[in-house]
Amino acid sequence: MDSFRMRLSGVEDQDIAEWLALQPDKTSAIKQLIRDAIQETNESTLDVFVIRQVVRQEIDSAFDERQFAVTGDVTQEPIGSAEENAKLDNMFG
Amino acid sequence: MEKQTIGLDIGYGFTKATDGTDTVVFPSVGGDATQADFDNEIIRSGAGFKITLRGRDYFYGEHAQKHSRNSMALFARERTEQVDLMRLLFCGAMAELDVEGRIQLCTGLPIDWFADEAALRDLLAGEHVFSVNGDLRIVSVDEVVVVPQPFGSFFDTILDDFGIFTSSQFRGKVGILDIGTFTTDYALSDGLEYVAKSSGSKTAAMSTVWRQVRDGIKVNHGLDYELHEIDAFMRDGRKVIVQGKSHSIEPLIGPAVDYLARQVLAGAREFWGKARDYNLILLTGGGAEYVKERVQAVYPHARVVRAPHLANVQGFRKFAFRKFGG
Repeated sequence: MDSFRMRLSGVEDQDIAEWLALQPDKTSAIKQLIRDAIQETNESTLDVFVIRQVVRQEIDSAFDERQFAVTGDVTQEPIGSAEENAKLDNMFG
Repeated sequence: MEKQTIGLDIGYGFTKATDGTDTVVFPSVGGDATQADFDNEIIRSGAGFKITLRGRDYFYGEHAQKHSRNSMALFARERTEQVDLMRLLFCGAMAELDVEGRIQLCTGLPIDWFADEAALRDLLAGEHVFSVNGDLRIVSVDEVVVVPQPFGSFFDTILDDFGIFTSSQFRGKVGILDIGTFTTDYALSDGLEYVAKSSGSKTAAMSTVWRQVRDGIKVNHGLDYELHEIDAFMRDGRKVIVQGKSHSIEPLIGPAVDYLARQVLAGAREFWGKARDYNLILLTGGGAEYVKERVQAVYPHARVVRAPHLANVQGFRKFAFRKFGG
């Protein structure tokens, strides 16, 4: 996350929200932001927590609430199988 | 009003709570507050609030340590029996976080007292009516889940703030070694299953170190301190002032930490053996950084979690968010 934050050219969390509010197509804008970050960092997986916080509020339906495994184009590969998720859900009652 | 998700860790040494944004920590101590105490400007200007609960006025945390004439601390075997103190510490945490209304929460119990899980859940669930500095407050606990204490650090490591996996380190065997104030807890997750037979509690913990250092200071310098004061000395400068002169307590700390590390490792061997088939051992709790190198010499796959003194409570909140939704 730290490296991702750095690649946002110093944009703070609240500024992202302001920036996003100005974008006519929020989904495309976020995807482009992630693509730019991938190009700059050359990382195959990014923790997009900062973005997801905004996404959650603004365009919840556009993304699944999973960590994005980002590969070139924006795709979503949640960590953990359905079985593993069910096991965690059922831990401790 | 939106339901808030809270992580709550009422430990024997400290009470910690988080709403995901703010985190509060205060000593798990409570005591009576007289109106005269509260009216005293000097006392009131310190940290902390006066909580009125069921018609009685209380201080909690450092305020209680300093000003209550009959302060009470949590005792290991009586946690769920000290109902009034538990309620007070809960209310204190809610006051510090400025929480009111409906909440859902996750909390923990040491492994050996996990049988008290239902009693703790019953104690926390439902409506809590209390006053904070005279202002009425109602906190309604809609949902509670109680987990073995060290699992908070496990959840903090593998989940994000929304309770979603961010790491695949939950797979296989993961040992969690939680060196707390009065207990060290050992827990094993095997493929996301809690393995009770390889989990347990030992009483050698940070208080073991504090006692040895305190006794050494008393012998060497004739000064008698409370354990929480020793904790503060160890975190801040590692020295005591005697008649205006500074004296290092470093020579007392080293052997005490060595002793604790040996005890911690003896417990690990008892519960986990050599743990060669474990993927990872998570070191957590306030004692993690002290014993890290000694533990890693025996278990090279051990690593200290992020912010080990807060990892349990952070993980509790994440797990509650996952379990009950946002």
